[in-house]
Amino acid sequence: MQKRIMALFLAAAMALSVTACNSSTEQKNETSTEQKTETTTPAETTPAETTPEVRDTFTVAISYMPDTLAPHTGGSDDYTSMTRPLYDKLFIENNEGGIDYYLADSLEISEDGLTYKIHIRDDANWSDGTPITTKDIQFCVDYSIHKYGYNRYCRVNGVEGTINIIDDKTVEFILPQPYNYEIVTLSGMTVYPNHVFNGDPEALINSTEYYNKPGFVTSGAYTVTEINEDSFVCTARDDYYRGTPSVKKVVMKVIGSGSTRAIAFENGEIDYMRITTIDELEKYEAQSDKYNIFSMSEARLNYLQVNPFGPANLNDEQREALFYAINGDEVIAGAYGSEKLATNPNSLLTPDISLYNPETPDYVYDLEKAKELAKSSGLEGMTLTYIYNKDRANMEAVAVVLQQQLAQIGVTLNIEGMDSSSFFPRFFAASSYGMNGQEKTWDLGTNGWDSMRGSTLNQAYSYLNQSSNAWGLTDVCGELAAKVNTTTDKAEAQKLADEVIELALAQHRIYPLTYTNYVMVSQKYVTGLDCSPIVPEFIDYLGISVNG
Amino acid sequence: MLKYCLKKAGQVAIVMLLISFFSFAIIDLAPGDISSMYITEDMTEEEKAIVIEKLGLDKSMPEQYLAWLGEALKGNFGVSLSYKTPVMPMLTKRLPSTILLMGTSLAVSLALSIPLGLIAGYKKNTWIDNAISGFAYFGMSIPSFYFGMLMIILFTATLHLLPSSGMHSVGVNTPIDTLMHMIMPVMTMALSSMASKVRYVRANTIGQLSEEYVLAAKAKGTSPVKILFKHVLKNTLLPIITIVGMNMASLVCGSFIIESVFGWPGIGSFAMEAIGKRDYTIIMAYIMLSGFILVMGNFVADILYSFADPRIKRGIDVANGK
Amino acid sequence: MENNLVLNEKSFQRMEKKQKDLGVVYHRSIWKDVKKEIKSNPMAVFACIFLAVIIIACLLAPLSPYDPNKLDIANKFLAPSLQHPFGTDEYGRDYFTRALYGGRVSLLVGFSAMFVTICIGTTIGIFSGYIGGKLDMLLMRFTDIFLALPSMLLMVVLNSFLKPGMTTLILVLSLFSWASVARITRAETMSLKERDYVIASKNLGASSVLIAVKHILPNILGPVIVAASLGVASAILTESSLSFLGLGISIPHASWGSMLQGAQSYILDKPMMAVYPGLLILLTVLSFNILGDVLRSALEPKIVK
Repeated sequence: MQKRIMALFLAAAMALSVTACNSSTEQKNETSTEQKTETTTPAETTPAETTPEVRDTFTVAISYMPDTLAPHTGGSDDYTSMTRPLYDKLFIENNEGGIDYYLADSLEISEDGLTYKIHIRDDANWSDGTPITTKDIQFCVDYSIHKYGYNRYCRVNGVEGTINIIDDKTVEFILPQPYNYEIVTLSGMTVYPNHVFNGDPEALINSTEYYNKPGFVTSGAYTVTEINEDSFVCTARDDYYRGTPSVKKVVMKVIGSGSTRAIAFENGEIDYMRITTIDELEKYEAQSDKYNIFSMSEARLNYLQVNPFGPANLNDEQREALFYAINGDEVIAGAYGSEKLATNPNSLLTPDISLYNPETPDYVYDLEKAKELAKSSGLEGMTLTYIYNKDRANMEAVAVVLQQQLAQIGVTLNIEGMDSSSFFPRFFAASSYGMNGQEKTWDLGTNGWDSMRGSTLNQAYSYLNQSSNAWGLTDVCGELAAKVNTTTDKAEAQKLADEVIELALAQHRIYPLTYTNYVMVSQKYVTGLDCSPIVPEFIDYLGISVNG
Repeated sequence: MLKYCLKKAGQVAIVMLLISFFSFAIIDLAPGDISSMYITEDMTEEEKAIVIEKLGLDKSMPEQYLAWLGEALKGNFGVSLSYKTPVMPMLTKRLPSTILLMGTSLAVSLALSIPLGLIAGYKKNTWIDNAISGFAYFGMSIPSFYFGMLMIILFTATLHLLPSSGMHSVGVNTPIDTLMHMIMPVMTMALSSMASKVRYVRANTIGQLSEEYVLAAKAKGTSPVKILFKHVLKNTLLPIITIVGMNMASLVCGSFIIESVFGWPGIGSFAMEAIGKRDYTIIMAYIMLSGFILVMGNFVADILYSFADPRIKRGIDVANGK
Repeated sequence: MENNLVLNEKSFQRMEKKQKDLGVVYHRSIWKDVKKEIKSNPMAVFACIFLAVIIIACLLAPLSPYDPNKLDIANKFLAPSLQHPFGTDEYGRDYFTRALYGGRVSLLVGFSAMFVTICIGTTIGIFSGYIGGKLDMLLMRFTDIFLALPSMLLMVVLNSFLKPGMTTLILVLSLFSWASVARITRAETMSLKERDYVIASKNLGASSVLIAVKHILPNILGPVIVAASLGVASAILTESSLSFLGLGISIPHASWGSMLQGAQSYILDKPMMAVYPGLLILLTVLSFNILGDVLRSALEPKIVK
């Protein structure tokens, strides 16, 4: 009996330790909360609903909590979006083919197209007050050399150019030959703070600790004032060089995707979200008294690729049959449901690119011809492996529609959806992954190019000018594309661009599927989400307001 | 007794070692790699190739495993491939929220299932028993993510009572706020683990009620409530220890899905992210950690039980030649 | 008559216990027990009827006038009607037909995973329990590992490694669930191998394999059948979780789990799309669980009812 009592006691001790464990963690939370609230402004505790005039917080849903907010890491669109309030670009090409300036206030390209001269704004400064200078640009270059072995900011076809620092605010990138793509490279540059790391690239690489705690130096309109387990808070700087944002606080909070996010949005926990289906769009449009809808071009081309290394190894005629069988309009109708969400493309360039030509002939849908060709070429009865990236919006729906369309000409699609980590090494096996063997495991695949704006071929360039015949196009395409990039004469560039795109499309390797729109729904009091329509959102927080 | 504990501890060590090997082998076979984390759209093909090459995951699996094991034995679980920081601090940072969730669910499920089981057993084959048993069946038959979804729809989308996800609202970090966030995940988690306990307590209660000592107590005129909560409960609690130990498995695995559904910032959702990124150091550390919780749960239950039940101890002592 | 007058230990026990002890020993036809047990429990009757209806309906799915995968965008999200008892989904496909085809997948995965699980588990369990000694210890350590693995996580990893599909699902599910079956069968075998009739046939020179198959297997069938019924339930449940995480069967096919995952995006506005597959999973799993319990009390009379 004594033993039993002892056992009871032990069991109770176990239960107690569990509760004790709970209360201690709760206490810990409490104390850390107290510490945190000290650093934030007192206005935050006022509930937003009851007193709309003091609303100053913009809450954004993020899909995961990054462990560092450093400017040099990242990669995903989510991460770019999360760090938009913190880091400014020098400038960015907008959807009209022009340039929006941020840290820089001028970009001069010499007549011969060799010199790119950038002037940084005199008042541009880091959040600790240090001016942003060409030293910081030099730091980026040093980092690139440390990482890749060369200066990626002025390198053309393997030949490196030079960087010429004129004074504290002026810098020149001198190229070995004209290269229109340079403007895309430079606009992608995020400036790293030289003074924090004493110009040591290795210190930047090991900076996770530094970028893990609130208060690290930023170049954008906000600094991070609070980092929690599942959220972080950006607070507006009052010394930001472009003025003070009207949104004083941006809260980035982890919310699951799909319906969880929609529920959080409708419950008022977050201020906006992206919508990708016509049903959501119609639903929120119908409640225009409660919500605002913003739509902008995503500058994205989604396409279907026929893999030249695929097991089926489709010949010219079979590919032609395949493309005849695809009904582009039905893909839009089935997978997106409306022209408001996506349109049917005709080119490898998006309309956001100045070289885009609306006259480029599109693939024609002709089921009868497709059936005929499929029969004569032996395509009928074949089974093809089709891969897509599950992390991308609407790609599953596109696969469902294509599967049904191709079934009509007797082609069976084995569809495999996977996450980015599996998808990229497979889809880019031949181009970026040095033929890792996975190039032989699929026949068809969908992918997309984003940020397709500005005045160059953009991502289509590296596609056309491929390495090791990765996409099955003829070498002429690559040569022509390279010419487009080195031509300084605009009319000539346009002519060459038209030529190379028509040539590429004629080979039936790539089928442009959709130009997508980025559609967001926000609470009624949020305005200005489309003030600078660049995806990933939002490059310009100054234009956003949360007071209707 | 000490010998028995040592023997059990040795077994735990071997099991952990083998778990690590199996997990490592499975992860090594998985396709895809970390590279997608490092590739940005503005990189040229050449830069992408350089980045991929630099990640250098070219060593063979046994080599990688031995290197990993050597470090792990020293308590160093390596550096995350995606975050570039040591894995252990990242996990321990998130561990309290998972323990909070798991511990509370365990406490809630115990606090509810024991009385429910006792009552069901006492009122055997009445409508009360049927209702409680039906509830237990429901709990063990509904997919936990589905129940979570239904809760969110009811309490967040329809009634606007509870927040849908996360651990606390930004800016209003009070214990009450955390409590509000905890209600749904804790209930979801508790429901699935309650079922087995309720059924167990019920069966045990029925068994105990037919024992002579209950008859004796009844004959003495002890009230049913007293019999139930004083005598029967005492004898039911012991086996519950084992059940709790074995339940650790469902708690650990349950937290994995439930954390994802409710966006709970614990180690489960963290591991899920790591799978998406193919960050094998984090995945391994998580597997080892949750495997450890699991094995230790069973281990402690075994030890406690042998303390509690003299028969087992006697058996051990006999086996040890005492 | 005289026997009744003999006083033994049992004479002093309560009536209830005595009667029970008297009843069980003789006519032990498994099916009779099961039938009796089911008939006495209305829940069990319901479970059996429900399972029969579901299984037959799923088998007859091809009789549906609709193609489960054919798109009909013009008719998407139709409300339930006579033509479409469950309405249509986001692609205009008949939801009822899809639920039936989805049930085929879910049930097939459930049954196959159970079958593989039972095969592996029983073989290892009997082998380990019968042979005993060092090998038994090794095998049981091995089993312990599988019991201690965070199986859900590894299933996720494994599933993203292997080609998605039904075979993968079945293999992955059984890989992580045979261990508990092995434990049960081992324990039963251990107790059976000490029985007189086994020792007798051993002494008569019967080979180990013969003893295992002829004498041990039939006598542990009870617990195995119980484990099988519960195994189907847990396989269907786990399959739905994996599908929810996006690791289930590949499109355009569906299982109930993947239908739930698809319905999740519309759950706010079209909740019925989540209700149908959810209810089907719930009721099917529930029925298998009830059936498992009924079988247990019919086949393992040791357990107090």
